[in-house]
Amino acid sequence: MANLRESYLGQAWLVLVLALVFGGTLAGVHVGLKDRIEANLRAETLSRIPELILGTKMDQEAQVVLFEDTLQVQTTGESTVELRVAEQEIAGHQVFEVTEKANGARLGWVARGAGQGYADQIEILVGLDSEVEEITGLYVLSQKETPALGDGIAKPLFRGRFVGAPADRPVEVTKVETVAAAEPSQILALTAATISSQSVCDIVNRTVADIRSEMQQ
Amino acid sequence: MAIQEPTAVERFINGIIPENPVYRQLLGMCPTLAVTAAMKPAMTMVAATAFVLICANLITSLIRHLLKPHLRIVVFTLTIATFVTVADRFLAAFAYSMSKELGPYVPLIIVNCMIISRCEVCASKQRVGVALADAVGVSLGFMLALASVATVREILGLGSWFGLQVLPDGFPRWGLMVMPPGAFLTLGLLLALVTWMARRRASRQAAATGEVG
Repeated sequence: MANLRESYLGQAWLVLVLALVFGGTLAGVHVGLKDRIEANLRAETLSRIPELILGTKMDQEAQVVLFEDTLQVQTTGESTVELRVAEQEIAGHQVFEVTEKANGARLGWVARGAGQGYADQIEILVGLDSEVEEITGLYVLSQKETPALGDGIAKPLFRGRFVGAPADRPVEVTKVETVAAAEPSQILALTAATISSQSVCDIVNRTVADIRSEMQQ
Repeated sequence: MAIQEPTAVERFINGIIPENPVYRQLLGMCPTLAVTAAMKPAMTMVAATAFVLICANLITSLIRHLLKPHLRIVVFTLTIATFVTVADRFLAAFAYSMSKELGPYVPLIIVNCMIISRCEVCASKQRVGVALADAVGVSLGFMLALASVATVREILGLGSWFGLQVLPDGFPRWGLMVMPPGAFLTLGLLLALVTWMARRRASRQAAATGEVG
């Protein structure tokens, strides 16, 4: 009896019981809330599609209005463009095909990707042109990188560095400004956050490569 | 001789001003500096922290007789981490834009020393009622601290309070106040003010006692 009390199990039984109870609680919370959280993420994804596809052609102050599968967006020319969004799964990625509602012309693709960052999982949206040859935009859906350093990956300054990068070859991180300026596939890293910058590039490369290889087949 | 532990009322009152976690104990500095650019994120952080603190204190107090001294920190951390995750998921589900705005600062509640110190100092030694009063008092103290910093920063930096405009358009906005230096400046000045007031009060009390004596 004394041996049992002195054993690891006897010492740590409370920790083990609490871990089981808390684990069960968290599983319950996850099951109860995951649909709602996923719906929030989807709504945010849809609201970001126009800027990822239209880029500078979109009025930066424009409100994006969603009617079922149609996004109404104000462009810089004071006119309104209506985008139709069709969701599909390609190579395990949630992908949205974006077409112009008026003539059915395909404008591009928006794909969701995820991967490990410096601190936690990073989830991104990457915009691609209609032929999947160029990156048209990047948005960070969720990240928990170091405040004031790695969390810069979610800011427009860093995201803008991916616009115009080729999709047919991997993007690479560089710390040299002149190299990044000369070559579109070279992405200038955030100062003191090279791992976060590299993580985003890896997620972009993996997402784009998966989609391209599936489409080529 | 056994040390007399504070009563529930004493714990409650102490947490608000005499032992204010931010101004008197300098705990919880990370959220105090990081999320006080405006009142809305500051109050959301207070609500999440209060939820975690109250739940952690209650659980710790309930199991206090089962705690082994060398494993107590593990139990505190496990308890706090669980409730932080619950708070984080609820924010993501019901206050999505605020959850995005607060970013990593909600998960960082796990390492807020204010919470683990209340588990150690009060909840692991006293009954549930006292632990609850302590958690509520400290939460109110934390709210007072974050609200004071956020009020100064939002009004001077944005001209608004809780998003409502309170300064006329002609009043120049101090952009610095909503940036990190504004947080350090505001907290430093408010800390100096609170310390000066506490010292003045103490010296007056000492003078009064001297006169009586």
